[in-house]
Amino acid sequence: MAKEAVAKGVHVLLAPTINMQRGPLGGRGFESISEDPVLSGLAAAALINGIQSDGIVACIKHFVCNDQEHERNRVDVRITERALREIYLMPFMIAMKKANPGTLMSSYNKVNGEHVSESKRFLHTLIREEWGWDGAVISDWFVPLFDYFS
Amino acid sequence: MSIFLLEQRTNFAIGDSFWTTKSLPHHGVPALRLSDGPNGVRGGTFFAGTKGAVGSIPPAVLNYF
Repeated sequence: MAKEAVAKGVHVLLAPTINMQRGPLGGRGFESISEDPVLSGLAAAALINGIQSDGIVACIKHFVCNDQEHERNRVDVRITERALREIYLMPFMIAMKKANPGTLMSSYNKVNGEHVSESKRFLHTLIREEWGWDGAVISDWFVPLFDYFS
Repeated sequence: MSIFLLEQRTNFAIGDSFWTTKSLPHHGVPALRLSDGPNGVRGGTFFAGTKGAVGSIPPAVLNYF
């Protein structure tokens, strides 16, 4: 994949996607690795290490709980702390532990009423302080636009 | 980032074109191109792009919007 990126003049490959494949109606489910958080995390780490060993920056996405099609860009995911950590955050945590992706993409949706893309809890407390990751956070593509109109 | 002016930081944050960041030539920072995969590298266009190892089919790509 890194060689293909080089061939197309790409420096940052926005992959792998490690959201959960919760059901067949998720239109972007095909991008994700699996419905298993541990398998997703381990496979993502292998992909990241492969991509970055050839000089291309990888990006794990979409952080986090961006797993369903209905209102993909704005849904408020109401979720318990245990399900959040054991299922939806797990692949990101494993990928960061077993590899060091250069970037992470924050998602469009909210989690428990708060936009992840402007959440201090997710983008600072969790990934910086708790997980100790120091890569770059990038928003999903239209987040600045949505913020402008909202 | 502290060496950059506010305007430069803002430009870097919002990008230059749809798939590239803005370069900062005075600081030796080139523009970066970013691309979705997901299975292979899509490149700069959604449709009829250069063939990749594993390409996205248009019905699947529509979900990007």
